[in-house]
Amino acid sequence: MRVDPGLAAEARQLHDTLLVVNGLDASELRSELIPNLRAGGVTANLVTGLRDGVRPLTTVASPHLHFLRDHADTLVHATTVADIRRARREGRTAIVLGWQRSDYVGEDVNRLLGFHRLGLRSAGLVYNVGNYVGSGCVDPEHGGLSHLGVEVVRELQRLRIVVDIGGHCSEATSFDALEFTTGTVVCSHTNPRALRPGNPRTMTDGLMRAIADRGGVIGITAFNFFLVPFGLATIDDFLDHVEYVVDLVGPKHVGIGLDQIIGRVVMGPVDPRPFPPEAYPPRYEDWIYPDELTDFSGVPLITAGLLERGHGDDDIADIMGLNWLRVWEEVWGA
Amino acid sequence: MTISRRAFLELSGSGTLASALGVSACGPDAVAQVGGAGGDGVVDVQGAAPVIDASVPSGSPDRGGDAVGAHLASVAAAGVSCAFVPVATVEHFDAALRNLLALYAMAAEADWDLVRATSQLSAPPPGGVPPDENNRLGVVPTFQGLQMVEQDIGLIRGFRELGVGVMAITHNWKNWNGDGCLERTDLPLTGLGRLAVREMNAAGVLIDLSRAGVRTSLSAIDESGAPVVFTHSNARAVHDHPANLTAEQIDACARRGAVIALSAFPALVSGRPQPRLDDFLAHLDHLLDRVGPDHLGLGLDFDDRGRKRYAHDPFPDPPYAFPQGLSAPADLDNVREALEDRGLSASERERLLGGNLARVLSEAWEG
Repeated sequence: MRVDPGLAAEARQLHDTLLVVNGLDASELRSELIPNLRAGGVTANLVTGLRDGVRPLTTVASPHLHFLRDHADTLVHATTVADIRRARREGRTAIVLGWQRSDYVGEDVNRLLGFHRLGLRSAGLVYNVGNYVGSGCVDPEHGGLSHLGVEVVRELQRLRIVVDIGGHCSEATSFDALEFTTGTVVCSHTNPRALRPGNPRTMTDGLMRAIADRGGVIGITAFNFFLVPFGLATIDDFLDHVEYVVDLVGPKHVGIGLDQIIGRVVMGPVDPRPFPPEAYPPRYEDWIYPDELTDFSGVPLITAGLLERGHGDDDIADIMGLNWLRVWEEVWGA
Repeated sequence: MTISRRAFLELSGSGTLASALGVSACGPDAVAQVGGAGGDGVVDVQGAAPVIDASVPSGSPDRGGDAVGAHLASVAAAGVSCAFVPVATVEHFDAALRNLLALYAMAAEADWDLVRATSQLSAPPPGGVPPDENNRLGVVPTFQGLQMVEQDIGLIRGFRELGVGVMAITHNWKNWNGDGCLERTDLPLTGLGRLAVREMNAAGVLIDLSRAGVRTSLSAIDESGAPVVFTHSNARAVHDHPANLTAEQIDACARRGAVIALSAFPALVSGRPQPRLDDFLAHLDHLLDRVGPDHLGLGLDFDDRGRKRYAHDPFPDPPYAFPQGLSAPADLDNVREALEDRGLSASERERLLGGNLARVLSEAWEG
């Protein structure tokens, strides 16, 4: 993307007035991330936390909680939208803790209350492959929620934790979750199937409309392989995906959910069970992002790109963060 | 004595996991060491079939060691020479390992023998001798689900090395591998489930599909390179219950050499508050008629613990009224009599009482 210098200056000026929220981040929560988030003007970042690696959190010795305590001068562990606004006022960065799978509850849905108290505020249900809760997007055959899954989505709503469907979940499980919940649900990070046919990790128009009809938000990822089937994606491809969804469901129902993996240095072959080649590149070296979105420093370029494509300031403010704040406030309460 | 999951994975396959935990190693590698006859003090009775109960649910420590011991003693006294004893169902790794080691501690005290190879399976002593040092019971620890393994199918090999010879792909509900028989959905094995089946084949584990959903079980029967077992299931045509088997499942068993072990658990026998022996025998007759005596066994499942997880589960709360005439291990004699009444030959009766289960164990364990 070539932005003329005048527009770039205007975009940066606009960007600095925005309250920018990233609806899902898969980066390592490390010190280096904090200045990077600030450089990109990101006020709130939802990270995958409250788990031990890929396992359920078996103790309350959460590394994420320790990290947040140790960096309290620059970070706010946000559990309310007021916390996020306070972080903005104080020049700090808000970190929201969420899950990408809910089978961390094991077989006991009552554990969710404890996780809520530790700060869990958003929960995906199934990560790519079927689990105790439901079926995943890469399963050989898709189906709805399990009995536990029904209990999980009901309890998540009761606790006012955001129910995060689609993307990694199968569409059958996602529609089932819509059936067993009321009110706002979201998809924190996906891409439109219409622009990336053949990748089961992407989302159909039908499910995006269903989420928007319930007042929710669909976050768009910048993961290269979800943007384009081969070759290198650019920030323009990312903006095409954002615009497609804006055209489909309107600017009130689209956000960014960049799903970057900053600081996670993994090389070599990918486990094809959760990450089959039709959905993910088979080598970690190819888990990449458009150059400008490899880390957060390029986030202002999203604002610039939307401005250049003729979106109004209010729509840009919604897409870059206020939509997430709206639904989080609805779900979490004031 | 316990061990971290990571150390467990690292040690399994090295031949040192079992010794690190102070038990003797099992699985394909250990079979050669056990040899053809005897081993661990079990008398190998050439030519006589063992009597096997594929579901003796008493291994949970919450029953207390004395109750478990008394129950297994009554099973042995009824002339059962080998019991499949579940040590975990929905337990996670730590609890499953703890239960397994607790069973070994009890076994050492009671002189039960861990069955490490099918060559060790012995016939029961003649005449229903009461339990003493001449009436040793062979024990096969089993898992009724794979919650302890989660996505780490590498753990299967380690548990096999520790003696867990039979594992169920899932129990009643959905897990990583597939759907349970009580689930809202009825999907085939997941991708991970297919790999778990192959891993169980490779590790020499007999695959139990008793509480898997219909399509998960059918796809597992197809996927498995060795015959499978249903350790405690009856026929839906006789009593329509989601834990009982459809005609399609029964026929698939026969086609692939699997064995269905019939259960006395009342909810699976009939809709009566207390079923009768004849209700149980109706399942036997139906299955004899459909698949003949070579695909049948017993998994009587005298379990007195509650099974409900959700209020809508199709199981009543305990206490359970087991069938009149089949309410305790000693009633095995009534089943023996019924088999004779049906005109089955001595050899057919032996196969039905344990020979068929010994065959699928041997095919799964020793190839």
